[in-house]
Amino acid sequence: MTTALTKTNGHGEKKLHYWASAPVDVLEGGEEYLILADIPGVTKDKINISYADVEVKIQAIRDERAPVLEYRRSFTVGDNVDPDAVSAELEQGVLKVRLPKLEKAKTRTIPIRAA
Amino acid sequence: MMLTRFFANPWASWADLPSPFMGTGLFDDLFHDSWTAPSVGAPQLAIDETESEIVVRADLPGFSQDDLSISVEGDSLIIKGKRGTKIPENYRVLLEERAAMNFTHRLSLSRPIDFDQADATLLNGVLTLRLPIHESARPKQISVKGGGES
Repeated sequence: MTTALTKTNGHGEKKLHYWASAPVDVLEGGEEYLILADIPGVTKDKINISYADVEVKIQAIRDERAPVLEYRRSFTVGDNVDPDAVSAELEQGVLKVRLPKLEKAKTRTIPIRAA
Repeated sequence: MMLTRFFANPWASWADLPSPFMGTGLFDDLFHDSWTAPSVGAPQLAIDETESEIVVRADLPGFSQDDLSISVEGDSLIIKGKRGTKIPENYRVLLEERAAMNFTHRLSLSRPIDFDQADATLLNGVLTLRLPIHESARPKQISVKGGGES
């Protein structure tokens, strides 16, 4: 679903600007959470990802041609993510955000010793 | 509009927005295309046309060149694509919105295209297909020669 609004730029011109909700997959592995978002047409310098107050926010602007489209999503992921280790990559219009878990939240496999 | 969009637009969004007429039998035919197999997650096409070319754009995030095939059959341009959703091993799904895509778009071209000059690029998940209109079919300006005053 897209919503239109007009934004006024510095020159007083009104520019049509759309908001869109990018479809995402959220996956959980033993070591990390993985967010995959479809954001076609966005270049990597137009993506902003932040993690604060247990919330991940993704904002991406698609402005290769008019009208400008802004993808926005946010997720609550809890406090078990290591904020310093969050990383992201963009591949063929799909944004992949890795949110490594804090040590205490990682899945541990307990080996069973033969008696 | 010189291109007839058979399956795609303007009804492409009907798949996620059921028509109030669905099932009544009254307008069902408008929303179905008997020529094309049902597509899953077919992207909307944006088609721009100028005097010299037709430009077709489609959002195809996550597609590689190998996932797409573009061919010409008679007057029809056929775009096929398939994207599977691969869940990596040892991961569990918490939210799944990115649909698998498997589609066929069949566009009927009413103007002759110079396919030798046609060009398709896939950049940042956007397919841009440039189809130059054949020289013979482009509008021509006929200049009026000035004759002597009579």
